Amino acid sequence: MDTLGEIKKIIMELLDLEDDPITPDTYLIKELGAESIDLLELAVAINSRFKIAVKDEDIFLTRFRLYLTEATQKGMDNAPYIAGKYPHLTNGRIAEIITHISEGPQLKVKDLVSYITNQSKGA
Amino acid sequence: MAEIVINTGLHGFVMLDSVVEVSTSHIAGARSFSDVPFYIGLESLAQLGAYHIRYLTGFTRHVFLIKIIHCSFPAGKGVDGEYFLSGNLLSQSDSSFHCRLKMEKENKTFMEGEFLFAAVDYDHNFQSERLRHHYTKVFSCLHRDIKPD
Repeated sequence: MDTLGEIKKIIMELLDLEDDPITPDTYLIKELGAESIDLLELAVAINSRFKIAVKDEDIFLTRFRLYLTEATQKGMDNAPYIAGKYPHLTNGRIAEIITHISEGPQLKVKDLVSYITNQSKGA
Repeated sequence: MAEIVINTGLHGFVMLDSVVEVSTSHIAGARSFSDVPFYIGLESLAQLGAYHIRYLTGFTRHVFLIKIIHCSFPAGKGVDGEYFLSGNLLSQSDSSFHCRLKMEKENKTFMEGEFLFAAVDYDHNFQSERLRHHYTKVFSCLHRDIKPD
């Protein structure tokens, strides 16, 4: 099974989902209703399944807004600053998140896949 | 400020008598119970697991139980006598820790489960200077088999 398939399996089990509503573009918090406790459990499940080091703040983009503020305060462009913080995100994905950040939590399933892929390369 | 009084009916809140082994992946300890309800045993297991995570994080972060993923124990039975407690770290992120914890009596498993703990930085609610010293001292006493205050 590929990374997306494995992630979907873990999320469905954790959130007790019976159907398979998950695509790479599914929002983890906004659509699936994942709460902070679910994310903690998801983090250890990812560590167990993929044998990678998991940094919660990075995989779940929890400091994204803070980094935007930091970039502004430092007089730097948002996108390159964020890219330095989240090397697993593409420039396109960063731009997409910045555009929609006011609409609520932007974490998508594909962001987890990107993180795992990136960490696996470094492992 | 209003004062909240909690009376557990117990002599103390440290539900461990000793920590006999500890490493990055494993911890073991002991506790003697006097016919107490099962949830006291559950609390002992949770305390053992939490001390393991504090040990792993060098007592630099506040650790607490987030969730009992599952736990099995004999229905209707209390906890009485000398028990051996042990725990293994199954997986972790930088903030969450998944452990299997077990309580045995006379080499037979009495209670066993998987627990999820979280570690957060100390802050104004969980004050480093007070809590870090407290937990380090209790762990040190337990590890040397000396009963804490």
